[in-house]
Amino acid sequence: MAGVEYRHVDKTYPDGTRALSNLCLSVGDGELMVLVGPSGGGKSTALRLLAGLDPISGGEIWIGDECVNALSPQRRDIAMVFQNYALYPHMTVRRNLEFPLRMMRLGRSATAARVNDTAALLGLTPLLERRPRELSGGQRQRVAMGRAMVRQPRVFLMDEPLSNLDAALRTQIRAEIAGLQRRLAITTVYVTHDQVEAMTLGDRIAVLNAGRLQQVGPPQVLYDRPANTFVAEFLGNPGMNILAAGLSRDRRSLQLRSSGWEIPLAELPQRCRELAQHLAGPFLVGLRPEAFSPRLGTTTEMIVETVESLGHERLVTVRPAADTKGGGQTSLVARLRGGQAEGAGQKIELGLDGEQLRFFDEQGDLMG
Amino acid sequence: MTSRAAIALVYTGLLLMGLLFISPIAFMLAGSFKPDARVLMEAGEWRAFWPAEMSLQNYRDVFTRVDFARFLWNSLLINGAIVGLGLLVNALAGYAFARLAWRGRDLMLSLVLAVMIIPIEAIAVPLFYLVSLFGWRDTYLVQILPFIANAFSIYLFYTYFIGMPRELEEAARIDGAGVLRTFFSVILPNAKAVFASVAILTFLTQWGAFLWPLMVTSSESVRPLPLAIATFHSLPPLQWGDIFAFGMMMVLPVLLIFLVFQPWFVRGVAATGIKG
Ligand SMILES: Nc1ncnc2c1ncn2[C@@H]1O[C@H](COP(=O)(O)OP(=O)(O)OP(=O)(O)O)[C@@H](O)[C@H]1O
Ligand SMILES: [Mg+2]
Repeated sequence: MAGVEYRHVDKTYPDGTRALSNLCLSVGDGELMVLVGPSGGGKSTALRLLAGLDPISGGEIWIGDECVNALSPQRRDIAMVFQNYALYPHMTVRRNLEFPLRMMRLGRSATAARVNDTAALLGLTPLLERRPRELSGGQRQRVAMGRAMVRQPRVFLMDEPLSNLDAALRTQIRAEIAGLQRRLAITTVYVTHDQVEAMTLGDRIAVLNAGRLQQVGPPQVLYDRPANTFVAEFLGNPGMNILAAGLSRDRRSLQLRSSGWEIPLAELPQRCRELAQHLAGPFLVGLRPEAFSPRLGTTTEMIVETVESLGHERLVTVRPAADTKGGGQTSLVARLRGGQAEGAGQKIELGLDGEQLRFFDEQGDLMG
Repeated sequence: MTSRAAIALVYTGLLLMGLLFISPIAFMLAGSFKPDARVLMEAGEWRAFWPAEMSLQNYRDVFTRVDFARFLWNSLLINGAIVGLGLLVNALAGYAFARLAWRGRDLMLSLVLAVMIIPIEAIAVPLFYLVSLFGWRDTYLVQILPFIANAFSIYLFYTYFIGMPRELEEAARIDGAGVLRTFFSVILPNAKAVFASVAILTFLTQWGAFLWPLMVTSSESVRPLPLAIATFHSLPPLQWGDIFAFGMMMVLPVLLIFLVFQPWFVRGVAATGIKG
């Protein structure tokens, strides 16, 4: 068992695509690290470099106390679950599970014992003599997990292992993976583009965008204090509202530009007041959808654009009544519960929870 | 015209075409069972395709007049070696082009593609001098070796392997298999369709080889069937029934090979276990 460390890792593909820039990330022994980010962010690349499937362009990757840059995949002692499972189509489930053990030249009886144990653990015992094409999607996924686990590798790699499953199954297997990983305590790097999966599964989350690490930390920390506007907008469903902001001329109230919202500094918590005092030029303000509520402090009149009801809550897109132009940029999403459902075009009064205000500088980095 | 009538018309047309193409073989088949005198006598009428009195005499004659078994063995040996070794060599080459990263790969691939359009006739003479220099004339080897590596086969394997899901091989690599092990345990069992196609194509093109064996062999002990039937043709007395029997026995292995490999076409395609 071992931790994983990326040290200043760069990756440029032969066609010149720069997929990773100066990635520094360490995954603790037994930790489940989720790599999350938009498509093309470099998540799969990071995983493939760790697996040894693609050569690294710069920097070092360490597994345990060994630099694995020069090691071929078969000598890294890792196992991987692929998005499409990549089960060997011509082998039965049993042969699939045996394959990595045969490569290790494990004895016949030890192989059989391990395969049976793993199959029992994953509920695959009745399926051992079937071929992959005779299995359902969820069963295939389980076989892929089994083939990775049976090796008892130093590190698990998973690249979007649940994306081919339907929503209910995904939730169920997600919980199983979390349980298994904790029980086996094998260091795991898990790639997903689904931020719900990331939030629920990860001990820590690393957000990658355009080949750069944006932030790494426990899910709640990333949610509460995103390091920049990218992370703020990416995590959460929907993400944080980011608005251009400034101080009024008398520096006594916070103005959310183009929304006509003006909040007296006196209404805001101490932390915000102190921060605001040091601000000179324009800046950005971030607000989670749940920060809004009707009747809370100084309210502003908003016009409802759309309402998505999720049963227990509503996602309401609003634009300020003062801004008659409308348009996407000034729209906000608020998460509202209880009360009467709004209708499109209706005017409502919204206030906000100052505790949940986040300030970003013009480059989008978190302040304070 | 109703669409039914149109379909009937199309099928009639196709049927006539099929009959046209099959008639020489039917003629040969029927003739091979007839006494020699009737073959030419009935050639212009419908009985050309129907042996009234069946007899295997022509087939017996072939075996007594020439050492047919010897020629058949020569042809089977030569073609078996070309197909078998060709599958191994060309599949590995195609895999190397498709999946391994090595210096000069793209240049080599264009060379292979360029070589594909050069027919044996164009290089026969220089090749003849080369093998003479090695003292290989009049051997099995000289009829096998030049035809093992085959640009077209490499190209077929290459395109097939390029299209296979990469994850399968990557999974095998991660599971601890080396390159060759991955090839034989994971790629090969999932590429039966292309192996079957290449085997059939190679066999079909090489089975009738005439020019090259004629140039490089002189003794009957190593000569294949196409040379033998040419000699047989000019061996007096001229017996059309015997020649047809010879021809039938020469065509038979081709049909057998086709029947043996044909199911793999379908099965190979259906067997992808990758979801997607
Ligand atoms: N083999 C390759 N050759 C060239 N460029 C590549 C290759 N593989 C990936 N890339 C590029 O590298 C960048 C990162 O790709 P990567 O697959 O790591 O993204 P990802 O975060 O996994 O995205 P997704 O969520 O869509 O899987 C992308 O711009 C992609 O186009
Ligand atoms: Mg990916």
